[in-house]
Amino acid sequence: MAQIGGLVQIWPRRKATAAFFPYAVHQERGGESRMVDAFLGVARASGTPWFLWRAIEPFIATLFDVSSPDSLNRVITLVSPHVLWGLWESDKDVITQLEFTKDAITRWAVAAPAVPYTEEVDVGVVAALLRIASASHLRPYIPVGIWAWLKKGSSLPRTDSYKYLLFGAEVEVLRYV
Amino acid sequence: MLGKQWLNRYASIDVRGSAIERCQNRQRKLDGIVTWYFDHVMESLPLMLQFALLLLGCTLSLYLWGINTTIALVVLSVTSFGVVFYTFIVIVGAVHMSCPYQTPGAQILRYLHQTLHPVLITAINGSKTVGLVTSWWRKITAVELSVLGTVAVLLRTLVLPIPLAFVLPADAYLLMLAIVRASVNIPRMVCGWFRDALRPQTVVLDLQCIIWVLQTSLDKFIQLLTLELLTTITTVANSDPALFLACFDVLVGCMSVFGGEVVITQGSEGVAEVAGLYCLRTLFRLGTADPTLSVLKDVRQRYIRTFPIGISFEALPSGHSFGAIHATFHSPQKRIQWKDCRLPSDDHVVLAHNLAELAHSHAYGRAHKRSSPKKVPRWILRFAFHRLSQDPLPPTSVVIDCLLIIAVDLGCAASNTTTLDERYVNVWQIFTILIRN
Repeated sequence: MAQIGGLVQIWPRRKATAAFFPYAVHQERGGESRMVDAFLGVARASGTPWFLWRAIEPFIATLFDVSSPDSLNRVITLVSPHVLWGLWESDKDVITQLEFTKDAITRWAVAAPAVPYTEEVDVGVVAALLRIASASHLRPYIPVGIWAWLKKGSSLPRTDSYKYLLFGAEVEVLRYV
Repeated sequence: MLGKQWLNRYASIDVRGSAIERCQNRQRKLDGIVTWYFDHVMESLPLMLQFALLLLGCTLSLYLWGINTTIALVVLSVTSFGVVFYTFIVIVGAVHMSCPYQTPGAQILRYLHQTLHPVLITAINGSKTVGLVTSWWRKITAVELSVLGTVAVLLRTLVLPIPLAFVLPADAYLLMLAIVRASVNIPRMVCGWFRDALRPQTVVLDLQCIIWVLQTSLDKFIQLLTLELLTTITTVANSDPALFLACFDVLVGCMSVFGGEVVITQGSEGVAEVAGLYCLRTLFRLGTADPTLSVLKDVRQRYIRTFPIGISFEALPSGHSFGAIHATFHSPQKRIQWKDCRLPSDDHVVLAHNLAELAHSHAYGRAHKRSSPKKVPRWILRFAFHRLSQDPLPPTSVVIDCLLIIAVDLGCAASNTTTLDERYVNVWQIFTILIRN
């Protein structure tokens, strides 16, 4: 019930929260990480994988661009479970979209190992990995080395607040793994 | 009879005075008609009669069944035919806007489609199982054939997502959430009607009058006077998407294309010139506020259909305004972007401040006793998002105004203070509280 109450309160405010995200990222680049943490806290509390407002897709796209600076590695890693992999930039054609997603996966795979290891990072990487792998056409683009995260630490979430992140943990994906 | 009474009341002229006062009174009545869903209520009256007829048919069939089966079958078949026919016209009316057999049921179906469909689509996009089924369905219904296509489109967009939503608990949850949210809004909306009834808002009322005149009048002299009146309204409200649409309609109504040449209708030169200038100005502001605004997209499609790429406006008075609009709409970018004619930086500052004020007044202005503020219009929120996404960030004042807009939408009672320092302190306090919570 607590989760439902959270979502009911947060869902109407997700657009405002998402609009605030670019500023939080800007602060992160300047060394102030509290705003990104606040954003991620809200995203986690919402308990839904569809938290992000679609209007901010162009911004998410710039975040996952291969040329984005290393100072954004933490944001990229932590926000990756909330991204609708393969579905962004929906106004572009399928090939461009796939090319972009491929580059985004590469950028994510570079960012994840570069961030200091914590439980939050661990859960984020595993959740994003499973989300990407749940789209069979994206699986070939996942670098082999990133699969090693499944063996690291306490990969599977133990608390309720993380459970929804395992949205991509389908039978087919687990069989593939 | 009730309907006739109401209409008589609307048609009566119960206020004497100047033309402005009469116009305001007429606009107030028209606004009341829109706010109180007068047309829906009027349409529901015959709906009740139709429902009574259905009940009569059903009960008559039931009654006759026990007396004479043959006669009962005849009555039942006539009733069934009526039901099937009515259902058919409701479905066709919902799918095709141009269908002349429109009914309240069709409007309800269309409304449900507009409100529930985006939520369901988000759920479907995130769900792989449902995604597979919908992609299969899209392939089947790719070719839209007359009646079959109509039914297929309706099933695909409205009927199919609802059972599919129950395939996965998460999807079902989002569906339930949408329904609950829609239901929760009803009492709030009703309370709002009583609270906001006949509260005078002169500037907003004037603007609505202007939009109404532009939408309905075909008299060029009146259109010209109305457009000139617009220049006297200096608030940001004159960047309203509805106003832009009305000005654009006036502009298109003054021009036509013959053999690759644009011709202005005789006697409409003045209107075209002022409408062109005003369109450019509003387009400029709206494009800056939200380049993804759906109004801009629709207008662009209409513009491209009416004015092909090769035509020239140089021979016309104010050709530069038309040329700028033409170049903007025919640019290869899908969204409106102002690369070559950006707003001056100080205009950005003014626009941001005005939009923050508009967001604040929209949320709190007409609801002093309301427990929760109204939501900020999406296009203003998108403005905040677009400005905050810029790299480097816009001037501090713009950032503060954007954060104020977000804070208002989050439900924080941000006071609408005027000085930069005060606003900076104010917004910083709000976000400190938000981060802590």
